[in-house]
Amino acid sequence: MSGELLRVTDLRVAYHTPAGPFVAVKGANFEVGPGEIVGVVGESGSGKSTLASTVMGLLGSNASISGGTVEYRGTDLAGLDPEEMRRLWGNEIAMIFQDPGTSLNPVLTIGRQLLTPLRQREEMRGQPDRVLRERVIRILDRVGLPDPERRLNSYPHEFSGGMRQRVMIAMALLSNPGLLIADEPVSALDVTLKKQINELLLGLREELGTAILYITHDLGVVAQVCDRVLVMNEGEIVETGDVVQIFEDPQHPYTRKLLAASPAARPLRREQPTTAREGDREPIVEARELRVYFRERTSPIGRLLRRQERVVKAVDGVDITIDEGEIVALVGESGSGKTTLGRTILRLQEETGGELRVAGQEITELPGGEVRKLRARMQMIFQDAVASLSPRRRVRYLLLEPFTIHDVKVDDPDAKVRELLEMVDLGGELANRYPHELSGGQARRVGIARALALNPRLLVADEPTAGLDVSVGSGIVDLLSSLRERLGLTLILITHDLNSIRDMADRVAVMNGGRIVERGTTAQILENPQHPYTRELINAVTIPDPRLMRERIRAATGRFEDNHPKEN
Amino acid sequence: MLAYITQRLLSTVVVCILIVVFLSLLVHFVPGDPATIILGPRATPELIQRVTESMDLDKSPVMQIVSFFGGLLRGDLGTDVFTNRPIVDIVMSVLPHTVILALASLLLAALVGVPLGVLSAVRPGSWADRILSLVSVTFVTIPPYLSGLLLLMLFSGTLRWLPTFGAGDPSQPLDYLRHMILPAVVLALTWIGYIARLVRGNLIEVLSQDHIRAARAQGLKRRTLLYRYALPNALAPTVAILGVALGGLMAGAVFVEIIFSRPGLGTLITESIQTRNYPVVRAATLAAALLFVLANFLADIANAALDPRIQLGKRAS
Repeated sequence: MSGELLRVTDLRVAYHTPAGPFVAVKGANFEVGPGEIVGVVGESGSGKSTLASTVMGLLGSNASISGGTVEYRGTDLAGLDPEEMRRLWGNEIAMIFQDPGTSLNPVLTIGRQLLTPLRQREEMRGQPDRVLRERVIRILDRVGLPDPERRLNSYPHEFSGGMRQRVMIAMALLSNPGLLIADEPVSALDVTLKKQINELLLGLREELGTAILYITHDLGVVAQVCDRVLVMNEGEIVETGDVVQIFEDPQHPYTRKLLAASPAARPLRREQPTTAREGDREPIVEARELRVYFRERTSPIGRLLRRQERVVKAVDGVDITIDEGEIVALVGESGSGKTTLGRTILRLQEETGGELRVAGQEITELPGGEVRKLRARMQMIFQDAVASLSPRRRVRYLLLEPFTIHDVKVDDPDAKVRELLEMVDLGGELANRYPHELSGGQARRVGIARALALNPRLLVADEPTAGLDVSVGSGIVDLLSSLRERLGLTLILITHDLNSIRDMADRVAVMNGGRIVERGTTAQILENPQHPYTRELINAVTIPDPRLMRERIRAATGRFEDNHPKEN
Repeated sequence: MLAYITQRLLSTVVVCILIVVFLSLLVHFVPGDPATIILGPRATPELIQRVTESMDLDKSPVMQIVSFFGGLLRGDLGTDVFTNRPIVDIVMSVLPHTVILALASLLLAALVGVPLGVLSAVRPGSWADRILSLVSVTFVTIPPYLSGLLLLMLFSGTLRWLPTFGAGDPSQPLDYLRHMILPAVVLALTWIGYIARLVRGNLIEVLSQDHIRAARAQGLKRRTLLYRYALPNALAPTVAILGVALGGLMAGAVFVEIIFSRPGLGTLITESIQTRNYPVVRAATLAAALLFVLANFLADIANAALDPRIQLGKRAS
């Protein structure tokens, strides 16, 4: 590699807050060579996203570079005027963003969103529309969008999340940029989609020689795609090096801590539940042939026009028995029916058919009042912790609300709030905060404390660690495990990431298309998966082990090998 | 899209039917015998009898609805007892004046209001934004009868640039246009202010969204970003409001038409109320209500055309 593409020297970035400047990046030094994939890994607040925005020149008006330089191909970006900067964007440096759902313009077709920037390129001036269209179609085809010609007229909301991210990537690669900045490009996606998008990025690097600055909090993703890694903590790059070296021989204590917190580093759960022995266990949930169908609402006009009513079989004949004190994981991709099953067990969703017994009662025929009573003993921990807490109420109120709802008198509310907060390892001082004043991990803990308020026997946790930093996520896993030990809770974990439950769940049920395709103990499923879908899921899981990840990618696509012929 | 339009059309028809039902019974909401009120205390019993029959007051309420409906479908809403002219003719003769006035002011409001809003939103908090905000709020708060009188005094009175009253001669477009300038401006003022505020607020929000940042990162020109990427997002909710705005314009038209002595629905309704001419009030109100419903229907369609997610209804996240 001759000379570097991007050179960042002593970069300092500060946010201007009413309380004075807050330095988010404290003297960053690094280079990115042509065609190199450099990972920037760190937890939220580490400054990694600020670093990405700075390199892109997209800092908000409340932040500025307070020292150092960012050079691209030898040009100091700070010296460019807005017009020169604009020409660099898209042409030389492109960016893909975390949430493909909000990063595409909702009211323009994707064809227009791809053609407009292309039309404004200098080298495209005077080219007939047909040529531009062909180019757009070629790129969409390359990023794996099926039937691109027809899809040009589709709007973003007509695509799935994974397809939207492909469109984003196509946009970024329109004019073959030298450097692609990817800010958490797969964090909002399922494990299998994650793997596909990363494979796509790797393939594009091979083909086009695009260098990628890859921002992520997921060490497994780093192991999968990156050549080199920068580990960031509190605005500083604490360690940098070759990806294999960082993972196998981390030098900085923070890197070691990060690696140790990764779910993959946890031991696989092998012991049987301690609360009861085989035979004398009481099943708390028993489902037989449980079905939940959603009918797509057809309007009266649609019925008049004889539109076919579409039925989505979210849960399609599920048998499952969950014993008291067990932790059972429902694993599958989005759309597999796992969340619907969880919600149906809690009676938050009406079933279409089948039997469902909870705590010995057939609850499908239970009158509303009885369900209400039962519901006090079964609680849900929602995925989006902040959104599931009323923004206008303080934590104290939120924690006492379950008692009000179920007409339970609390003798000493303050003591109760303290007790609940203590149970989830939070300090009493949080009682007076509003949900937006909590961190993601704290909000999730408050959600758990709220679910625990009425001493439930059964908890359903929907993606309890999704979207959290590794160390925070592992804290939640520890908390749930210890709650099970202490309170004898039965837990149903809903997740798409098999790894996140490896040391927690006793049993795993793998769901696909509304059915359970495989079930077994966690060790059986993870070590000896039988069903091809389970194998695919396990294969897609990212693990902080660069050698293993590369081997998998190589097996799938033939990349990471020298002089390997490019795929067609 | 077709299914969406049909669906909106159906609900529009339902609203129209409800309006007709309500209006056909309107006369009973006023105390006293309508025929006596129309004709005054000295009317002969025969005359009262004739008016009662012509207004279907001798029939049951259900039959009144049916007969009003039937008349409406045949385009016959009876004959005015004062002028002996068909009521439909009376309404139709003034309706175009009001429709043209409303459309002209709506157009004016959009043509001035949208750019003002964009100008404010590009640099929120700047001097231009602050001055424009002050102007918009002033426009919103000045009632049309006040701005109407002030402008009339200035441009027709002192400066003598524009005619004072009447609608002018429809066969002479220039004359008609000259007569319409002041009323249209007066009527538009409120909505210029309102649209400017709306566009400003919506556009500022859109400009802070992720997809604009992403589009910026593609190196798009500033103008493209603002007018082709951001503005369509900000206009969709504004258009929805414009449908409702037409209702406000109708109310404002009453004042404006009286101040400028223009023929129109507003003048007709006021005059008919003064003479207690219920059948004409009813017919004119019906025309105004149907216009309003039609405007909302068109606004819904325009809104759906601007934002493709709307056709999915509230299910889209």
